[in-house]
Amino acid sequence: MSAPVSFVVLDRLDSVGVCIRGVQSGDELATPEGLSLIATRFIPRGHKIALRKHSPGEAVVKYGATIGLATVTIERGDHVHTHNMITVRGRDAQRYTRSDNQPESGARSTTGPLDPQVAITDGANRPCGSQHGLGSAKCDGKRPLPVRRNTVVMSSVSCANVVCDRVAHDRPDLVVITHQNGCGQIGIDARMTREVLAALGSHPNVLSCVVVGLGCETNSVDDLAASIRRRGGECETIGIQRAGGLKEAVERLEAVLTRLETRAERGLVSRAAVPNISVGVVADDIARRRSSAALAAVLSALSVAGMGVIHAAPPESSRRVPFPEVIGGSGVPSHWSTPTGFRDAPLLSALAMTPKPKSVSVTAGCLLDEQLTAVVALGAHVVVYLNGTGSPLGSRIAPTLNASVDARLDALEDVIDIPWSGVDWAGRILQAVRRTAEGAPTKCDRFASREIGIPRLGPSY
Amino acid sequence: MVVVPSSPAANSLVDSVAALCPSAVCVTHARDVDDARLVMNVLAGFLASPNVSKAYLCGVGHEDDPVERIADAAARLGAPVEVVTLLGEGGYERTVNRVATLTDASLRAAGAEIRTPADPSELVLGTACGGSDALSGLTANPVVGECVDKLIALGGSAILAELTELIGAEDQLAARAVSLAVGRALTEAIRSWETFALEFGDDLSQENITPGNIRGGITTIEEKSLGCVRKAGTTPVCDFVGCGGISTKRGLIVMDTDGDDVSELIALTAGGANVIAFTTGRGTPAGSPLVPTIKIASNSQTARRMPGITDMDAGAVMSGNETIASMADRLLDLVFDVANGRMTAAERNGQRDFALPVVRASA
Repeated sequence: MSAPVSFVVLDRLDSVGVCIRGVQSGDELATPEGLSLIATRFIPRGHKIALRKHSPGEAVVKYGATIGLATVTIERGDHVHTHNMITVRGRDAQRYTRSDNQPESGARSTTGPLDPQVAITDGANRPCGSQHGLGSAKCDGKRPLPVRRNTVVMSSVSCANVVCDRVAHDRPDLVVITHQNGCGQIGIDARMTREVLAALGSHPNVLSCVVVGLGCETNSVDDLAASIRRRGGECETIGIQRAGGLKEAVERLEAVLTRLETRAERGLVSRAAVPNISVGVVADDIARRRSSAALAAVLSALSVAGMGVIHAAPPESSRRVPFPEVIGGSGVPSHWSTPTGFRDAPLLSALAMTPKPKSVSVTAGCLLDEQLTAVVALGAHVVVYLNGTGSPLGSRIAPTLNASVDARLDALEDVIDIPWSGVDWAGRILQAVRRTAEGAPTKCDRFASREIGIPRLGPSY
Repeated sequence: MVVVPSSPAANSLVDSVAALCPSAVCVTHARDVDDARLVMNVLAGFLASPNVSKAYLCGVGHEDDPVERIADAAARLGAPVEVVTLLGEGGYERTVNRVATLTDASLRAAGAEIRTPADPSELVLGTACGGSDALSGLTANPVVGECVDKLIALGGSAILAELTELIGAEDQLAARAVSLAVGRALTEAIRSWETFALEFGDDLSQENITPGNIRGGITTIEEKSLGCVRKAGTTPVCDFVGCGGISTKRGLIVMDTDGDDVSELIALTAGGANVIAFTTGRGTPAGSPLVPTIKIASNSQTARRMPGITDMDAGAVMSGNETIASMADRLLDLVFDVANGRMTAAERNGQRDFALPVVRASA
């Protein structure tokens, strides 16, 4: 009895065939050329079947070329996949990874991983920081108090942006977050994308979150949703490939959004609770060059009022700012690389800190929108942007006040919330932060961008 | 008709224009062109794509804004680019309204353009793959490869990119180079992507292919690469260009990009591709905002499950209803039809994916 064709052999040198349909354990299989063998277990469509026995370390050959090495004995008819073979190209990487964990072995370890540097003084050399509690008591630490309540739809990968964009149009109150990451990212890039998105999805100003993915990406919706839930957020997931197409994914997303309350809530914070909020502070390069005193004045005013202050800066600037906790601020070169490669990013260290520091300065990406993302991910309820360029910058999650540091920019009335001209500029910022926390609108309600920046340095596959 | 921000700071301006002008191609991005010359080249090349009738570059216009430098670089490539800045217009709404008015006028003018006949040798077919499975290397990629051979025989060109997905296939490819220099350049570029990845990644054996690839039956990067390289057919590699670079040669060109599906589409667009053939195993809807992107499924299950995103089902090769040669003929016809105005699934779906590339540390 001749068995139906169920696998193909691509080259006469090959040691594996490719199943063109799923096969069951015990199936007797045949190729068009009449080669036959018995499958030893279930093998899914597209997966490889061994044409002969492989000893551990022996090359696995497909397309007439070596695609990897057997890690254990592979019998004829076995399923060949990640459980019994590895890449030849990655073995250097494995050795490399092991030497990282054993600093005494090898010359690579002359520079250790970047340890967060923690300096426990503020601008006025008073002890402060998370343990010391600056100002009045913070909330319980699990879910800090919100100043807005929004429903968020975010993509796990750039390929899913199109679905998020489509629902954005008819739902002005919905906070939609898109970005250009998540595909085949590796190393700290993959961790950065996951942790930043998880922190945003579980942000205190977020009531509930829907994550939309494609299905084949490294930053899978299920893993991202698990991270959001671990951080105390609520999350639902949509997969384009799982739904069976774009239209189907949009329909599922619409159904989920109809079920969830997508009305944005404001005015959630009583005047008495306002001092408990955390305020993010970012400044563009021109603002930093033009007026470092302005930045210091804002940081000081917010601290004195008892608010948590979260500051993010490009690599070379953050060390110049006195702060309770400074992560990555001391001599971290741009691209946070060490002579032996890429180890860690200060923002990842900051995001991993428990309990969350009340006030922290962190070295974030070189781009302003990456710094904005960083302070929001670190839990800022409201953000103050010291604007020296006129750039319309704002977060959809944390209302962002544009504070001018240049009288020439004051004329941009639909961008600037707090003009530079006039007396007590820092005091006016503090008042505006209080009003915003209590629910007042900001100019950025019009222009806060869906697209967010997440620091990224490495290649994608 | 394109509206592009000079830096992420102008993304929101472009988003607001997009809400007023839904038929214009409005894209945003998250990279600083001052990061590297290469990012600037890709953005300038994108604006100079042959499929652009008019481009508006939106900036803030402050002293650090690269808006004028991008406009100059794009104009040198022949892009019909005009700059509008927030500081120049004196307000957010004013800027949005100004760009929207200009865009509307340009859209009306572009509508009056008519198609003229052209020779197949004018075609540059970009190739890409995303969400690959084990059948990608058996069906869709060989179909594209044979189509590439046929197009090059007619005098056209094709671009192979995704160097991170050629790790393990560099020797095969270098052996096909027209000169030692081209072979050496592409081998060195592939190796340096590998070195960069080894330095950057935690554990390459797990990370160099995506979870979707592994579920689809691909085990290692070499295996994925040997399937990917089949998109390039069998003709000699006549040139190697940097990311977004435009080759002066006709034939098979290799371009230096990584494997990020969206940024490679943009690099191909900047490199002068006028049609892109994109193969997918798991079902990736992505499409270039400017260049029609033909989606070829590697298996009939994906084609049936996601018919709305698929233009062609190469799974028919497996069921025996078609051969690679017969599908390649049909794909070449489809490439000509699409060049002549037939809409692709990605165009119907309004896919306007945009990302600027990551720069390799050593590049």
